Amino acid sequence: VLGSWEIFWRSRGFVPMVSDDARLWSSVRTHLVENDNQEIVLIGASRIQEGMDTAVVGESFGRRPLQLAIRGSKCFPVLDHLAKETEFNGLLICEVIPQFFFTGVDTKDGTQASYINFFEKQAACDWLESRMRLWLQQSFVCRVPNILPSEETILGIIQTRKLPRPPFRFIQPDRCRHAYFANADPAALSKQDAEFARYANQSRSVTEKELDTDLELVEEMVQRIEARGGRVIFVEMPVSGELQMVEETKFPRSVYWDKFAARTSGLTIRYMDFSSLSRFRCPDGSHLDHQDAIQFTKDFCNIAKDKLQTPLALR
Amino acid sequence: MVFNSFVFFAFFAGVLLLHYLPLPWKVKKVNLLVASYIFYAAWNPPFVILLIIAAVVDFYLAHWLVSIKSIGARRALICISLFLNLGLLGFFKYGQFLLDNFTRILALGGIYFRPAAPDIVLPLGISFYTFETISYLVDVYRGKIKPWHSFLDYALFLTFFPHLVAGPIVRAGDFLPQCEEPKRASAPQMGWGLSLLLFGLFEKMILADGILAPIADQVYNEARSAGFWDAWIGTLGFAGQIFFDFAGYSNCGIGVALCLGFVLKDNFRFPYAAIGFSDFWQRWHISLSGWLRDYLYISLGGNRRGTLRTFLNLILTMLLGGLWHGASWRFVAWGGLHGIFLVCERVARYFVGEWQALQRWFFKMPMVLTTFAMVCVTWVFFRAQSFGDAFHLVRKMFTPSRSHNLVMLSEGLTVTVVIGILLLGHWWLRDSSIERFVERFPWWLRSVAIAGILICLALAPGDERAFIYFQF
Repeated sequence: VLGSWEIFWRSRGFVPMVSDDARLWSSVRTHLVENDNQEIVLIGASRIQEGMDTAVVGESFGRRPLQLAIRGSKCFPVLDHLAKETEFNGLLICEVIPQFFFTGVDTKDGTQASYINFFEKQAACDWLESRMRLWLQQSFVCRVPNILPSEETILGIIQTRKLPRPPFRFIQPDRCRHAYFANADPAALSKQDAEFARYANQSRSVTEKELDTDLELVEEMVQRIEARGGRVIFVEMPVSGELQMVEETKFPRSVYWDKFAARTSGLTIRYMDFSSLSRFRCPDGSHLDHQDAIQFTKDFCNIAKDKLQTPLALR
Repeated sequence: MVFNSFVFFAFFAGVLLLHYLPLPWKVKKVNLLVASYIFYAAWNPPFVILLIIAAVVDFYLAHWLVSIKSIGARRALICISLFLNLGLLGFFKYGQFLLDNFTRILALGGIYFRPAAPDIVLPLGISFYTFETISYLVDVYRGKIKPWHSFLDYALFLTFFPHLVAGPIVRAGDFLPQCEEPKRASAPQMGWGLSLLLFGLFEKMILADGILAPIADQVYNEARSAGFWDAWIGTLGFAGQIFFDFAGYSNCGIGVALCLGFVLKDNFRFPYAAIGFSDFWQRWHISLSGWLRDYLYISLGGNRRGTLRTFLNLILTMLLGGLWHGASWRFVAWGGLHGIFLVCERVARYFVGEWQALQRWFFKMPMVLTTFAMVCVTWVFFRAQSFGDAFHLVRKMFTPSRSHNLVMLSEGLTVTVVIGILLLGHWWLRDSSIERFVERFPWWLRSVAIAGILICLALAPGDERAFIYFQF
């Protein structure tokens, strides 16, 4: 039965894919300060996970980065975790998503905190378990998340009366996500743009005082890393369509980004400030297609390298 | 290492292979002991030392205990051994809890003392193996068993991996005699052992983690927003989750042991078909309730010192039983509620007596449902993240309304169907066993069921969750 199930889904165009879960995150996190303490680390949410190509960063900086961004989550727990990792003094590239970054700092709750908790509570044999699971996921289609018989899959089939389509997003074993929007349903993409915009519009607003306190907390974390010789770059990734309009209206640059950029000792790169970074379009409003992500990453790395040349004292 | 991991299956295949090689029995026992240490070390290697120390100290203490003639000296020695075992348990499990309560008491007196956080890691399974070693020493002290002659056997009893981390709490008198003769599972035993292992995994991965845990978590993580239906659905979900989780683990352990030729006693006997709390504790976590009865309740005087003292002993036993589950006042409250219900049941029995009509099914069934509902109320204190959450949920459970803010209709239906089937199954099989139930079916139907379970396990979605009883 399992064999037939496997053949059936393969015949529909599915290919094996790893699961982007706490275990995979932990196995990547394990490599931090494994060989030396000069790693490049990417943190944030799905935009940087799909928009920053790890292979390109690797070519550009001569060292492949660790992808520790977690989709749909605020970056603060991982930022705090890395700030407290006394042996890490490499380069941290942190994504700024306005509706996550400027709506309150919490380092103890949410998906990122649960991933850190999983990492910290791992058993001695978990490295072996992770490898075995990775091998199975890379070998068998029947473990692809959107065909596993979960409530979501079953309800999806009942509602659409169609079997799931092969995914257009692929998770690499290093947690980099490649999106091929040409294979996606265009109607679903515009629906997703509206959904992202609605979510951004509903995100809570903070008072000026709260924002000041939050930015101070972020700065404390940044300074802990920089005090050890590490560097931090904050980057706002491209968005398009309805989501872009909502973000610009709800989180005006002068109130949020400019204030943050003025206060932080880290480097800041906002896609809108660079013509080479702002020329990309996100088909679903929030994420770059893999082909665009490669070019975006090349351009980003050039800008980042230039900025990193500037001594800390002159910034 | 957990049963629901690929590493365990690779490990277990290796252990089975070694166990069925034509080697002397003593060598096989050494293999099992080493495998058990590896099983434990796979979590945190340094804590194996603690396990070895417990085995060495208690093995020789037991021999010393019988060599002493003076009753006073024997008492002193058993007290020392209890102090050592419970001291270790207390340090690792209750150190932080005691410190927190100490600082709170000081704060009540206006003294604000902030000690550094001790950051103690709880060794996995310490509550289980401490109780096993205590039961051995007390049985030797009481003369129920003789000190065992072989250290290898004793170390294997304490460390045997199928029961090491989360029980069942095995008694030396049940296990050690099995070490005398070479153990080899017969073909039906091997088949039944593997079936139990798969069934236990099905209970854990599909029913507990896949279906019920997400719904229970949803309610208990936002308990203050829960309405009447949310409170009931979340609590019913947790009642099912904890049963499938723990009974699943026990079935895996019993099945794995059986594959190696060792028989471990049942830990669950359809507990949700219990009539009254006394019956419930003869069906739920039987190895713990038996331990509490034999080594705590009876040691406190049991029912030999009058009615009031019996009630006090019952409540005290259940309070400590609650505390055994974890260093939190909520577990104490959970145990205390069970103690109070046990006392109420005794009082009710005194007035009602053994009324024959109560044996009829139309009386039994409402009593089963009432017991289950009351057990569910106690689970609220077990699962809630704070007393505030627990009281809110209990209040909502007893304030009927149409409100539901957290649980969707489909989730409510899912929990109702799963718990309904669970209750019917327990009711139907309450005087039977899984083995007898399964034997009624032809081999081909059993094979289809096993194949179905395997397919479900292979395609099981869901997050990885630790077994609930690992934290105890």
